[in-house]
Amino acid sequence: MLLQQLRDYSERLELPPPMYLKTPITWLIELDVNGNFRGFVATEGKGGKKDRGKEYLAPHVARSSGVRAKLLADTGEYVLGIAREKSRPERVEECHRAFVDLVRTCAKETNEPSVAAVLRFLESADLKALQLPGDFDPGDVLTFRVDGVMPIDLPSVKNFWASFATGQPDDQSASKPMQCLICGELRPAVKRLPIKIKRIPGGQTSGMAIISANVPAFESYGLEASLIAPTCQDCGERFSKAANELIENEQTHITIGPIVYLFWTKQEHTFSFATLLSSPEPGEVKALMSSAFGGKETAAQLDTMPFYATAFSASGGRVAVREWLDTTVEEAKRNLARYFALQRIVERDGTEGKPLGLYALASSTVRDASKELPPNVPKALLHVALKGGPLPMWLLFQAVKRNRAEQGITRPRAALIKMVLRSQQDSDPMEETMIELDTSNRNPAYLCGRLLALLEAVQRAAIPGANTTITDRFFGTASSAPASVFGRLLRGAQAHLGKLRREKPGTHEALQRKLEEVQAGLTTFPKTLTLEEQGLFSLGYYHQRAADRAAAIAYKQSQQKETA
Amino acid sequence: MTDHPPVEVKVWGDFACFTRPEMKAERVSYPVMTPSAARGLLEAIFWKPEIHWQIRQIEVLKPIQYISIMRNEVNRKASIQSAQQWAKSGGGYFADEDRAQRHTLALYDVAYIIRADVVLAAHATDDVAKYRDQFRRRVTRGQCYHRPYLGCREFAASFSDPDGAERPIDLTCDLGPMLFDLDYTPDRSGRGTPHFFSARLDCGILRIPPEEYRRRMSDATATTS
Repeated sequence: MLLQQLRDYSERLELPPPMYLKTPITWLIELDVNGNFRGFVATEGKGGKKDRGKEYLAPHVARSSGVRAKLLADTGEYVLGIAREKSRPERVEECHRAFVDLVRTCAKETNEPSVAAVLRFLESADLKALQLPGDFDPGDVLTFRVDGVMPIDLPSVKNFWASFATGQPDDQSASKPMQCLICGELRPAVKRLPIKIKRIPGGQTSGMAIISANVPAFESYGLEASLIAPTCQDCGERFSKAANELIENEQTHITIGPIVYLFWTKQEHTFSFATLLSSPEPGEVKALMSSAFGGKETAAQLDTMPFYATAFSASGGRVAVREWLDTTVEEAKRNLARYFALQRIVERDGTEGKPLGLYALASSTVRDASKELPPNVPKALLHVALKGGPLPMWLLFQAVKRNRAEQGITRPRAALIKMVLRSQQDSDPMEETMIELDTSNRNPAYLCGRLLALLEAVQRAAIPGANTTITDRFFGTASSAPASVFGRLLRGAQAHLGKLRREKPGTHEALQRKLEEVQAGLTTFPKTLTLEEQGLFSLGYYHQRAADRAAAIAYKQSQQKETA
Repeated sequence: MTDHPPVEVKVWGDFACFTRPEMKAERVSYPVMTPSAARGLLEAIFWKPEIHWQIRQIEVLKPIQYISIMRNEVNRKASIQSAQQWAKSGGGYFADEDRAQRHTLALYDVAYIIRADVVLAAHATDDVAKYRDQFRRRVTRGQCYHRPYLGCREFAASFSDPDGAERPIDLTCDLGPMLFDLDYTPDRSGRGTPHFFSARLDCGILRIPPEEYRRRMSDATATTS
């Protein structure tokens, strides 16, 4: 499943050579072919503390507390035996010895003159007396350049490292052959996965493992660490590298709150789900919708290519898989088109609405999305966007709760409420309902929402520049228990209407007509509104405000035309 | 054994988690019940030293749906020594002080029909039909030795005879390598080697290749001889 698909995906990538990883290297030690020291070269402009140098593909091993050298490229402690302030000198000595031994083995096996030069340098030069650059830190990673050649780039060195790092006979990390649960072959299983997965929000910067049993309760059948799920070296390295690649690429991931979502397809495909979800362009969305609901021609170009999506979050030092979707590009596209159709709603000024990104929708349910966005909110949205089905009702509850707290409604939240309500119905998603003001809708909750918007308009017209409007004070109550406030609000509005009649008879006329139209549909005010009705109330309010603003703009423009 | 119809039982529950070994710290479920989970379920209903269970197929009756939940689980394993110590000198285990928040990607609203064979152990003297009938009676009466569960103890399973109207879902796909069962070392250390088979859902039916059981049988005879 997930790991197999990631492993398969890695076949399409240009992966670094086995046991090589992108590593920032701060310094190059320049040598000549005889191993004479020429000097240090900084790989990049020293851009302060954050700058750890240019990234190179360099030999890698998973290291924890033990001493394990990386071939030819490692920290100052390993390469030169220079201790950091806090390091124990004996240990650094040991590190350095391990490093030199490794270079010696490599020189012997590969017969590369440049490696031999490095070895000669390490053995003969007085490393303690080297003239170090001023801003040198023993924690920085160094490697060698011999007469313009980087030994770590040599094919023979790469081959040596591939077989050495994976096949050390005394290596604790390999066990007796077990059936690999990814490829199914009988191979030595790794005890700890060689590559970790990085850049998962909230996780450790050094990376985390998917397969791990780091406390006794996670172990099974007397097997420890990664052996609970036997994985061969090659599969383990491949799926981890593929996951890292997906997380790095803009086209294949989105990060929302504590979760990172990854998308990929079985074969090469140009369609980017990630960009459409995170920052949808109106043109792209339109094209998607017309191709998905366009009619017959879509059936011909049925895209049955498998499409995968997964969601990772951090849980301590481990990766938690929050979601796994396995569908086809065709189906995902159709659901995505439905998702965009569902969220169509007018802008606040009544113009046609732009598609909303996943983050905007999700963050409309909370006060501060950077701090308190629950992971389930974007997840539920994403699930519907790719797999279809109804949005959960608790999303509506969250949105309505937010409305009450803010005493008002924003466009993303209006869109979200509409999505929840519409997604419950199994109708044609392209059907044009609830996008803008619907004067034929006789639902009392919807009408109450409209009425509140109109009463607010009356107040605004009568007292321009009022600090606090009736919406600011009564939205919450009006949207949940209309009967308890609307009587009072209507009485209050009479005074404003009277004032308007005297001062702005035109406005009064127009508002009075609208008020009558809405009230005509309302025989009584409902005592309480259910959750769905509260959603409808908000939409009624939002639609009415948008329509009013649109009318005001149109009126202003026609006035300007007349004067011009 | 295959000339007799298999015994069958319908099981269902609100939640299920047939944990994938590769993702067991932060649990992720297989999409379908595994043969070892089915075996455990049958053993909860009926088991004797004279028999063991051989699963033929698992029919998936409801669409596969995932649900993501967070739970508190403990970090340590129970140890017999410390429990014996507590019995003597008091003390105990406080789960509250030893918790880890762990995520589970479980299945919800599941139902399966398990079809399986009873296989006699070498020392059994009675006819296999006896055990089959016992099992069928127990299922009809709803008897069990302990409450059967769907992958995790927390996810209790209900069971009954199938009523004949059940139809597997219309889904055909490869499920990749799936845990078949564990081969335990004969030294009683509890150490096991997981064994995987290549699982495939064929019109909603997961068929367990019988050769997997034959392999185990031959392994077992090899180790005992």
